[in-house]
Amino acid sequence: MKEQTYTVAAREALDEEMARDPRIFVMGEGIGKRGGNFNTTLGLYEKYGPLRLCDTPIAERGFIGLAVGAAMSGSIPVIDFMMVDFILDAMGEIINQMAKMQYMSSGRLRMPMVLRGCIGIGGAAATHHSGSYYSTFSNIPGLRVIVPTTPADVKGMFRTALRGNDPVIMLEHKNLLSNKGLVPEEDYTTPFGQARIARAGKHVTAVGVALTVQKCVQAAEVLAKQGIEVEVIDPRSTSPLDIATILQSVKKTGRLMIVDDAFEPCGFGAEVSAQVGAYGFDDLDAPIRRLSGAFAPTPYSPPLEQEIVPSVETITKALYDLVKE
Amino acid sequence: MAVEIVMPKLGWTAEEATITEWTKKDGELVQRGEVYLLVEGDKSVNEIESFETAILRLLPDGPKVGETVKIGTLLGYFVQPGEKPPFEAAQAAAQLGGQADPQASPSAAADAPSPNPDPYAGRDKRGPKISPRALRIANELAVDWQKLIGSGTSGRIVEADVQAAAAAAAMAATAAAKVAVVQAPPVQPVAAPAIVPAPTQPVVRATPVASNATRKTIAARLSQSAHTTAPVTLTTEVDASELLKLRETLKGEGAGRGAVQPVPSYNDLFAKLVALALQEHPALNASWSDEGVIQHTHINIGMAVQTERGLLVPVVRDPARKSLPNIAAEANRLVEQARNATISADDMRGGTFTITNLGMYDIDGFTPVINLPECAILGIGRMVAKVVVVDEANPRRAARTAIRKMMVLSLTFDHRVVDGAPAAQFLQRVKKFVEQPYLWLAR
Repeated sequence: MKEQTYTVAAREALDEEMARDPRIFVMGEGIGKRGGNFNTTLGLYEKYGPLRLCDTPIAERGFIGLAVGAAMSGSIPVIDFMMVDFILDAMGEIINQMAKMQYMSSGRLRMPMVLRGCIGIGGAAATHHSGSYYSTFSNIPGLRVIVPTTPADVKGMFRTALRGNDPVIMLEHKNLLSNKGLVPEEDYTTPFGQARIARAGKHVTAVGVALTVQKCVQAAEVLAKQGIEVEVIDPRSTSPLDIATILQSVKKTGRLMIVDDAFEPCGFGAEVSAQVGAYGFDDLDAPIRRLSGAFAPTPYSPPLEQEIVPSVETITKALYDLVKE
Repeated sequence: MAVEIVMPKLGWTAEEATITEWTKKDGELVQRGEVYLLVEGDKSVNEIESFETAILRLLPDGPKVGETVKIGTLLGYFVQPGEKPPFEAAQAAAQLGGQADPQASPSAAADAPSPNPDPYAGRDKRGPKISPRALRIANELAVDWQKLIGSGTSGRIVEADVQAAAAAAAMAATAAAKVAVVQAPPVQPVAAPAIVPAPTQPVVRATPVASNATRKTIAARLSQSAHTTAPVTLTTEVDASELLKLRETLKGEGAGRGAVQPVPSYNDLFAKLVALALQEHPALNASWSDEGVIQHTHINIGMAVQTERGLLVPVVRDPARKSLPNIAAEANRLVEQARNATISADDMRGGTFTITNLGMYDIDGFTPVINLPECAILGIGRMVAKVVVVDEANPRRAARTAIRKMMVLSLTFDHRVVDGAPAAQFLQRVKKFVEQPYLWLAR
């Protein structure tokens, strides 16, 4: 095991896979010599050259279309979006072509590609750079949506994405990038659709996504001092979603809260809540609760920005109230 | 709440019965234990007593005196003072609906005296709120949750409330052991049944409110037991030497081919012989229900087991028809599951008679508390060597003294359900079965 930051672990996965498989190439804005806005490709240009680290103009729809064609004809493109908000300009290519082509061709065409970008509210990035969109993409059949939260998971899941045949949307929360964690030395992969129990507990289940997993664990540490043991679940991928692990936890605790920075309506929390309501109804000792970001464009003002997302304090209070409910 | 009065099932096979006389009039207050109805069925007239103090309300268009009706036919209701029986409440509601005439002026409607002074009275009909999980567990543990007070911040009954009530019920059902504890010398290692909720409870639940609710439930269950049954305890000393010999013989066989394995415990032997005695004395294999006395066609024996959660009563199904090794295997499984808290609610339901054994604590006679709705419970005392006179009634042998293994049996029965003589006859039969196991082993 070695200690690495989230960014370094992800970059190492990309580097190792590029060395192993010459079909992999990266496209995006500023990912060549500059090494990526978030250092996602730092040092790789010198190693693999301009053909495999291909800087693009600001034309998302164009280069996604190009990458879809490349994936169909035997390459493995990795598109680096910096902020995942920019991906929205290419939604037609993503939903109508990338997600559906394997189905349309009865599986004769494969679509091995990875779209990656940063998500999340933080750092006064304002409303064009603060989207999360995992619920949006999880609503589309044919896409895999992964939201790794630890250095070990991002490395293992990025590897799984690069070794698979399906289009994968990899969403990295920008406030997790500098987190350090232990990463195994050996060549390992982390499967999709398998949740991680970030902290075991028995009184209430908290399901987080991306940064809120970390916030839930911090809230759980506060509540542990009061004798309340929170089980924190990190689904790691929102599509496929490991509902079994969540149901198992609710069977134990009887209480469920979904904590999510993103918007509440028709969101991730609604999906988890509906499934637990359907398959875990008789295990529930209290109503399912959600704690989400405000349903509003993200403000630029740093104090306002912090106010509209769940904080460790609001999560702690909400979990405490749910246990008492 | 209005309680239905239905034609009770008076006999095992009764399908209908005749109303002989209403000894109380419509609208009259009936005290608990008072006879309000005479019913003829199966060639005998039966007095039907009230379980509660309440007002008798007869169904206006219900069966008349002299009419023969099917068991379960609705005859009327018991209501509380000021409460309307459902047939009048329905009329009142219909009249109220008629008043809601769209032509009527709103002010006139508002001025009219409300037929129901409490506009929220109807809310009670929905009963208390309970979580799905608590409801499921209440059903599994057979807890009557309607009477519980929810500890959730919204007043909802949650799992912890149901678990506390179940623990309290287990306490009440096995209060027998507590009596024994009080009587026993202080040196005896008898643990009082635990009333602490299971350790899986969230710690925040261990508030004074929750523990008060537990205490209240315990008090309610115990007083219910004390107030609703008419318990009488009979004791007799039996010579268990032959039973001991039987068990020692089986043990001596070891685990060889054809040996009886597992070797039945005394409790297993008692489960079998008591069940066989109950076959001959079905009056003791009965329950109270809303329909009156129910004589069970099946015989299932509950066995009181001391566990960390408190005393539990797992049920051995139909031991009369099972072989001793089968009973022993089933009982071993039940006792183990009761002790490690994996026993299912089903395995603790359906008992028709309970045996409780305090012999290991050097107790002789005691007064077990009836495990409602059963009508009797047999307490098994310790086996102890005594000098007794034997063969005094044997004309072919001279009376002499001998050292025999003696044991006291304590039978507590509910005098409402069965009278003293039949209960004594049953205990006499059990005594005989203990003293001469060949009588039932040969079956």
